[in-house]
Amino acid sequence: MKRVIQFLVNNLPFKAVYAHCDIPCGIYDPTPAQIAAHTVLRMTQLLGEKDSMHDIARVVHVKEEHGGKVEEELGTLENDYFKPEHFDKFPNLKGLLADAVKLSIATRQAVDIQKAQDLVDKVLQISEIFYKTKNVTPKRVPSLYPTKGEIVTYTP
Amino acid sequence: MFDFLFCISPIVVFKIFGNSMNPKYKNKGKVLVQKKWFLCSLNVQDVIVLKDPRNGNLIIKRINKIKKDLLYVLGDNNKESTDSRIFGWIKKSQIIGKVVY
Repeated sequence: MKRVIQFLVNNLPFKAVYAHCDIPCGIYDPTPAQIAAHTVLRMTQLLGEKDSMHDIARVVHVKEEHGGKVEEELGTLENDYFKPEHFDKFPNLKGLLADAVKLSIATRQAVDIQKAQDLVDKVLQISEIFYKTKNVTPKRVPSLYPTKGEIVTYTP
Repeated sequence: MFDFLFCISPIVVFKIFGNSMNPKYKNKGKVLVQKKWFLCSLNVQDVIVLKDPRNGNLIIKRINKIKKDLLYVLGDNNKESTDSRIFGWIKKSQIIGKVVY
């Protein structure tokens, strides 16, 4: 009986079935989320400086775009990179991700410097956890962006 | 023609691509699947082929929990698996069949 089954398995035409992690490329990085969060902050700052409707429209457009990018990048980290053991080890991670997504929405809904700053801060905290899960030491350094904030990198 | 036969056949063969069911079901291994219309029952720990609720791709996972018409499925190799932890509970109607060999 086993031989018959093995014969069928070997010789019947087959279809593909996937047993993967949405292409397990292993390439994950919190840097794009940090850049997008800083961009949201910068656009929020610029909205207080621009007068012409044209400039305001362009700035709002970029703020919308990068607010969405923060959400997308954090979604990739949350869904594809962070595993249950990471959430166990860093119990505040789930809350940080949820708060950051809420802030990315709030910063698109309003012109609020404080919320944009909070968004950057949450993304930096998530980035620090990311590097800790990679067993390297996270380090905050000046961003050198006009926002004058920090970004998180690491020392091996 | 192949698709038609595949559709009506009670037992079909699938070739696995990916590592989420390691170590028992390896990448490029083949499995024999009994279509759901011919199944007597589904139980926790059964390995099933189902449609990914996000995009309709066929995926292979193990049943972890059953709740009425809903199933919670996981990959055996949870470090390389996209499963109910990501897409949540799936409906029984999304099942193609059960791995029998």
